[in-house]
Amino acid sequence: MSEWPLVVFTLAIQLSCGLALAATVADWAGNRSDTAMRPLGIAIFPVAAIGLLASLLHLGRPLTAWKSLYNLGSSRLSLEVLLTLLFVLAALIYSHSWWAHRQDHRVLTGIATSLLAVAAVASSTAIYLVPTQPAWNAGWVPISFFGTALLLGGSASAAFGNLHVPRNLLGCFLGGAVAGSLMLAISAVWMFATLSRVPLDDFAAARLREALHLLTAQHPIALGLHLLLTTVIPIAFAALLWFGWSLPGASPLLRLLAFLAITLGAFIGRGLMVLVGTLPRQF
Amino acid sequence: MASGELLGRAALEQILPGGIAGAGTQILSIACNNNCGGRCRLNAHIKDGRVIRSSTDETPDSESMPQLRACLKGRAAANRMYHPDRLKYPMKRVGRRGESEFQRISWDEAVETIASNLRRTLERHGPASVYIQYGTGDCGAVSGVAAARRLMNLLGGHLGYYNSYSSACLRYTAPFVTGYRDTNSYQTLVHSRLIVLNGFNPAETVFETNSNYYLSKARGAGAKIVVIDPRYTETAATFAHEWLPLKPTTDTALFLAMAHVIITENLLDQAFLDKYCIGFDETHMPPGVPAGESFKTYVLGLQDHSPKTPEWAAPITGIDASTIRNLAREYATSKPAQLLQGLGPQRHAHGEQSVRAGIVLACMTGNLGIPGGGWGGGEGGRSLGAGVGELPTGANPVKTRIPVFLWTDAVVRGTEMTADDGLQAGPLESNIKFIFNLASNTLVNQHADINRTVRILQDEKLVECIVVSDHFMTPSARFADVLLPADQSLERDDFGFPWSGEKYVVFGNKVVDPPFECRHEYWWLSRVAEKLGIGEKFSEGKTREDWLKQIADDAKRNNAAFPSWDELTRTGLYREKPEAYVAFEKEIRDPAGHPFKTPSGKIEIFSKALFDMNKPEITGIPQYIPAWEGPEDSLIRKYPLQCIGPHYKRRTHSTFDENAWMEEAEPQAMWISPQDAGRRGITDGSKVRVFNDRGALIIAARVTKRVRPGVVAIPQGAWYTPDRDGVCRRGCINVLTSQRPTPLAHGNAQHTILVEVQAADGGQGG
Amino acid sequence: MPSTRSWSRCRRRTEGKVADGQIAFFVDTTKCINCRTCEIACKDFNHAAVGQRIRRVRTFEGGEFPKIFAYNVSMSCNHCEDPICARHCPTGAYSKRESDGIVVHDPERCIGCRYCTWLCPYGAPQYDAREGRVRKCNFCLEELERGKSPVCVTACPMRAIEFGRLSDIASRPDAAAQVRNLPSPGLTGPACRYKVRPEAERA
Repeated sequence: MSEWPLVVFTLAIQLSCGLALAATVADWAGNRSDTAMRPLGIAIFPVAAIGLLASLLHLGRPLTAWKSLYNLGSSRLSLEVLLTLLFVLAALIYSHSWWAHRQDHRVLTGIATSLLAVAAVASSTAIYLVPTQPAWNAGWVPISFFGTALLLGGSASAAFGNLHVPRNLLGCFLGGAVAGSLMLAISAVWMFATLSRVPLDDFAAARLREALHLLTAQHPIALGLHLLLTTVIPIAFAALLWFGWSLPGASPLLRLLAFLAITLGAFIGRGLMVLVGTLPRQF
Repeated sequence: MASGELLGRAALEQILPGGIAGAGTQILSIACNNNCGGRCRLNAHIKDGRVIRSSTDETPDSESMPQLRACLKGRAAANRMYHPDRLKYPMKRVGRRGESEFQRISWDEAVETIASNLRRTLERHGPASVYIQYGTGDCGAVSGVAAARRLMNLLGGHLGYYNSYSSACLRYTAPFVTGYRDTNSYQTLVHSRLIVLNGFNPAETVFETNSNYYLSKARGAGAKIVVIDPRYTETAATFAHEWLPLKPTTDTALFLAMAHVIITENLLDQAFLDKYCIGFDETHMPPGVPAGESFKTYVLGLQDHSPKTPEWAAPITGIDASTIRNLAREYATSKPAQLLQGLGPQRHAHGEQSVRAGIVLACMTGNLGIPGGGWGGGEGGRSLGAGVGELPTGANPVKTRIPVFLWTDAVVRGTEMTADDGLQAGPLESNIKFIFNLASNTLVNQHADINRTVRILQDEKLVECIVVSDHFMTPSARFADVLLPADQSLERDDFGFPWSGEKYVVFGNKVVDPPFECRHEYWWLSRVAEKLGIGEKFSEGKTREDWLKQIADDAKRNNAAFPSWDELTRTGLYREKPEAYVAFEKEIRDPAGHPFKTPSGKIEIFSKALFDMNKPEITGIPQYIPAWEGPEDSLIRKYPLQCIGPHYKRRTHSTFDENAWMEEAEPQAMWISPQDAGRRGITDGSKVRVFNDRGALIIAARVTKRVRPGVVAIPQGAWYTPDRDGVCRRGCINVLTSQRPTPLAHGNAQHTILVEVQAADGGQGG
Repeated sequence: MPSTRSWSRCRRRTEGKVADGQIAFFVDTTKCINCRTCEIACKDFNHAAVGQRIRRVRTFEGGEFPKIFAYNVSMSCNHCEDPICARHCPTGAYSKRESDGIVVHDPERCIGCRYCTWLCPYGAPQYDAREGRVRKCNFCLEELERGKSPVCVTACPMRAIEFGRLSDIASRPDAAAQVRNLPSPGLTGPACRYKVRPEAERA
């Protein structure tokens, strides 16, 4: 999987986006959540920064990365770079305010950071929505990205920020995670529908066929694993909690494993998504 | 999107490769001297002592004088030159022969070793024990092979050979029919109404620089083109109106069936047959032959009760009877029609018959000796040339000659070989003891039955000394006792000759120095000569360049129009206007004044000479004899697939196998039909194991409809790369081929192979 | 179920937008023998790496044995009217010349993000991991500046590749913008034209 830096980049930005949303929501719900959410609030910036660093690794010439802002007037990629940089900057400020226990105006900072995060994620989906990439040029990509943000952010918050959090906030985080799971499930179905189309254009038809073959014949297990880890586990956890299981009582190791499993599933799914559009070219 | 302003020269210089040509770049013509039949104009662009790019013929391109454009291999000449695996230094073998363990030595030691080994061999075994291996890696005017011959001819001679690996059956057999072998030039194709290409594939094999250009012109002028070939070759894909997917080794049966149709439907050109041929029917036989031996009798089955009808031929050839019938009618009624047989159909167990049957078919329809109408085997073999000679080698005092394909026999049992083996002017006083293998991969890679050859070569009591000169560590180089690094064509001056067809010669400049200690064979052979006391006689005080200059001078003396040396180095070409040449035109126009150069003076459809040999597989008339290891051999129950070894566009034989650009353009892969692949769980791109009783190889499969079911095609020339079990991992077809020769020409039958194919790697794709 | 909805939404109209001076390749695929000389001559001229096929020939096969066909399409860059590479390259490494419409790639500006390799439907941008950069056909600008033809044009043994003004080329009776199995010209407005055999005509 040669494009793993990109996978890490998108997942990291989406995770930090989800965390930013969670942290902002937690703040808005009341100060008592400060200690519980603090590690997650602090984590927003480093996670986003790691993502940015990973995106540099994707480049053939990482030291010239700054040139990627040169075509802002036209290029979606330049825009994504700008918005991501702005988000990371905002995240720095926001995470600092969590670290320094600074609560004044933190909700506003959080809202701003979250908006920038959402904009960054939105701009990153636009990269894939081009007519020359028939496998990607459909709604399943944005749904996957935003669903991942919700899933990762929500499950991270539930797994690591929950000890003293009031139950309805925890429910909110889990709800976000489950919403993310559902979005990923919908994305998968939509993706199959997209790949099963038979457009009049034989080139596009061939690309879709190849992509479908890649998923169903060459990587069915990976696909299944992705769905299992990103939908079954979060929904299972949510159900358990709904039926009274105490999450704070669950061991930290279990919570960590659960989150890692979900992240692995997200990683696999994103990897497949990238593969589907970067198949070896005939030409 | 950045606005499109004109990029200034400075900016262009930044982004364009090699900078802007101008100051500091020299452009010189170079020669590409591979054995492909093309001889093209190429230039090297040199900057700071390095070749930065190539270009091709830049003289005006016109229909009367089309440019001599190079192919993909020619354009990769510099890339090949700069390959990191060039042999750099002379080396000698340590360890057992074939283990490929070498130690660097000095040129002095190399020369001394060769000289002393040669002296000892000559003293112990005589000159006929020295063999200069067949090889065509360098087709220039002063080649290593020519220099070696010159040396040996001054030392008492060497074992000679006749035939080639390319055209043994054609060269040997055609003269029995037409006296000498010849073909209409490609410029005549434009007059043909029908062109039948039988195993003839210039789109992949070149076969003279503008072969495809003229074929395209002919098609554009309205010629119908039919390709008879087990594969839907590039020639078929681009030019053919119809493809007959013939089973390998059955061409003769097809032609016989066509003859049957032409006879029974009264489409014969009886006048042509009566005037120019003997042996067609009972009333035109040479004296002293029993009745019933004519071609017509055989085809009609009057004697053997087996009429060679399309229905008879259909199961043999895999072509349905109606297709055969239609082609026969078309061939007989489209006049003029050109039948061009490539060298594939004559490189099988009964290749001689394919050649003869083709000629007879042409005669039956009067398609010989007229513009647009003819029979051709391969490239023709006439030397129109341009009056440019080669290094004089002198006469070989040893008159004994073996068929080139039987050299391994001459190693193992040379002294026992007789005329039945094709030995000429024998017997041999010694087996082969010393081999020069120069610019050649015949020692191992290109000869048949590699496993057998390797066992023979490993026995150091058989061949005592092997001297190899090459650019890379080829499979043959691995068996050297003394291994020498040779220069490449851009590192020396040379002439380049086309096979035939046009009167021209190219001249290639030396544009860079040979790297490391690479040297041309002439250089070290001169020093070997000195060691052996014949230095002056060998070199006549001349360097290789001196010889070239003399060759150029001689050419100018014979032809005032020939350019001076300076002009040659500048233009890289001497070329006369291409002419439409009609083979046997004189003989057809004026048979009395120009009889065919046969015993009877006529085209010998029946050859008494062959008939009198009284051998079961050497027949008076062309006959279909089922090939051993052909589709009618019972071995097919064990090895159900026929295998052929087509020549590949990204190599010339085995040259360029090491080249990464060529591998990227067309990787080594075996063509297999979807039916055969499906039955074996083989998917496109997966690795397969191909094997028979002689050996095995692993190769990637290309599953394609472009090869007929029952046949697999493994491009020949890939380098033999055995693993620990002796299985070739690169797909060298010669682990599968047989050393059994053809009956008359004693030629190589390397397209006669039966194999089985299995999925390797559990049959997974990609 | 055939669906052209997403395609038609993105299709660009190209009539009337052809720049006067746009130059283009004309490839006669009926003459192409798949010899790959154009590929290698291009690599040689551009010092391309292994894996970087700045001009590429692709073979398409069809029919049923023994009535099969094959055709070969040689393509480098189509110097599109609406080059999606130039639109979305983050560094502006691509620019479309106003004078002749050549889409020029400046390797100096390239950061190796490879987005163009995702965008171009024809695979024109070719990445070399060793250099960390993409290269693309620049119409042999260096040769054009010297009054010579692009290297592929002079290399092709079949004389199957020509070039000239698009306005001239497109008006040839045998010039097709669409080839079966190739991306729809409506995507980016390729300037290239092809002569194709009946089996390769776009359905």
